[in-house]
Amino acid sequence: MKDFHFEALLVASKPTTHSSNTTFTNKVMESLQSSEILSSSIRRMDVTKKETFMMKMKRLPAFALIAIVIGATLLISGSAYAAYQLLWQKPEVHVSTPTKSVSGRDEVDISFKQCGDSSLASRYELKKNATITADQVAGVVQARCELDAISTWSQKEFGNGKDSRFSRMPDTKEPYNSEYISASMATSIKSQDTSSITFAGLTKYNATDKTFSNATNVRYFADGKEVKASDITGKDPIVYITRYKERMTPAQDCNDMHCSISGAPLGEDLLAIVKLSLPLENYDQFAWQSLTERITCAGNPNDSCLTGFIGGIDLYNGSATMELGKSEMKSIQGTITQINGKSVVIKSSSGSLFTIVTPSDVITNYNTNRASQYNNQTVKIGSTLSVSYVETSDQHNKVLQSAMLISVYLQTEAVGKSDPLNAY
Amino acid sequence: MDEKEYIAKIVSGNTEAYRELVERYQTGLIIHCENILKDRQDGEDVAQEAFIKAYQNLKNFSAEKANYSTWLYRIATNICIDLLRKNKRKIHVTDIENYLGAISPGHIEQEEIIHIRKLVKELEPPKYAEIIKAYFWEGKSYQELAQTYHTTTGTIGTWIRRAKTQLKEKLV
Repeated sequence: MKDFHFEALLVASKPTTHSSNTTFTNKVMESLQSSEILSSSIRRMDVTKKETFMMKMKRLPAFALIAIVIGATLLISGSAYAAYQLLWQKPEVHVSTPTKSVSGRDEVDISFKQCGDSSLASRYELKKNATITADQVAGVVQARCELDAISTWSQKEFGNGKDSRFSRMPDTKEPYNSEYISASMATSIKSQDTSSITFAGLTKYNATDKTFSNATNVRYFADGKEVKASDITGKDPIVYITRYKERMTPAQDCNDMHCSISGAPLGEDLLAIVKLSLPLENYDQFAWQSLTERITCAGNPNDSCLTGFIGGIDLYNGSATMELGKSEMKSIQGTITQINGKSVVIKSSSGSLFTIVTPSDVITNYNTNRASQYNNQTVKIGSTLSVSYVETSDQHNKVLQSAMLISVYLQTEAVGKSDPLNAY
Repeated sequence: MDEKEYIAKIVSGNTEAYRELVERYQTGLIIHCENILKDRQDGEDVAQEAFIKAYQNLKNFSAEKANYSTWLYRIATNICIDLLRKNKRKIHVTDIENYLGAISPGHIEQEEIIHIRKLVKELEPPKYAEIIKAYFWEGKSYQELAQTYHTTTGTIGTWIRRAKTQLKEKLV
């Protein structure tokens, strides 16, 4: 008998006299109560944002959850302060004095309020070619939070209540219609008449002007409230909310776990225009992409790894696979201190030295045969490598043999997708 | 009260009725997610998220097409797979199929349940029975059991493995 089936049998055999984990049950029920009340924020969010928010909600300390429930109760009872009546709240962002990261970049710690979670702080590093300076980070992150809040609210306000996660694997193999609510990038109104609106294109994103001809039922919002059309002018930074419709056709070989679905557009309706609270430059995608987040490396809690809008060039792809129940995937990043053919030593953010052993001299091979295809970014002493490998949780090898390796990347960074490739 | 009745109550606005479904399926779901993710805390987080997502989408759930438990496990499995992909951890399709194939507690005969309970009670040493009950029936984690028994999580894992071996031998 497979272990999975056997464990399912065991669980199902639980007598009713045995109590369950009430702490877990209470957590779920508290989250439900909170999410019921805060459903304006989460219920119809897109999947990624919803997951992020929910994961953050779960990490909130008990007092914060209680505060949310109290706040929500006030809202229901009609005794809430005006702030609770806003459709979305203006986020607050606090940024620490910049310091230098392990790689010598400007680095800041950021704490948030009204940005999904008030209890978590994050550490961000400015990229080498950042389009912003450390003193602009607060505005950029606040703008990002505001866009997230508006996007979240728009899903609730205009969404159909269906979670796209569940439409991803349809029960049917027949074509079906799908629609989703989309918030645009920050822009401005270029022209407007009684029946049509044109939004300014953004050349830096290769986005052309966009006109909606049937715009008679559009709603207008600013500072978390519905406003009159005349309250928003062509000088104001805005985002517009649309409903995008498409015809989805599942591939005929779909099964429960895998399904590729192609979509054909059916149209896009303009629903709302939302005035933003900060100058337009704060909402610049490249400003946001100038930041890289530092998080704890998987399996190496004393080290930090870069994540976010970053990239890498494959140097080696190994065949190590995670064996369920026996091993886990870990990651480490560091700068190269020694290159000895098949063996490379990297120094991680905590100062630990890891030796990476590959079956062949992958660095010489890359530098000789492939670097020219990658903007001549060669691997040398001082380059940053990102390594994924497999190991049991109680092992902490500093020599990573080739059999343990999943991948070795040369870490790269870019602010825009079309930027020349540069090693980190 | 059966599942359908609870779901009807919840959909009609009785959130508290959902507590019963959480109580009923939490232990198995946490273990299921823990098995996939190889991490108890991640397993609990995903199980919690799956319960919330299932609740939020309960109106879309058709009790005629599937069991609630199957649907719940499917949601949780999808979240687990997404998490593994997000963390670039490798997982094989056969493993996923195994995980999904394992979840049909509704198909177990009552006689079999009684037999398993009896075998658990007869485990030797009796400590094994306590551990199996605490882990599979009460939802205790390895960490909690290690604290209770003043030992390591590795030892708890060994005891559970040995207990399962005994049970399997008697079940065949």
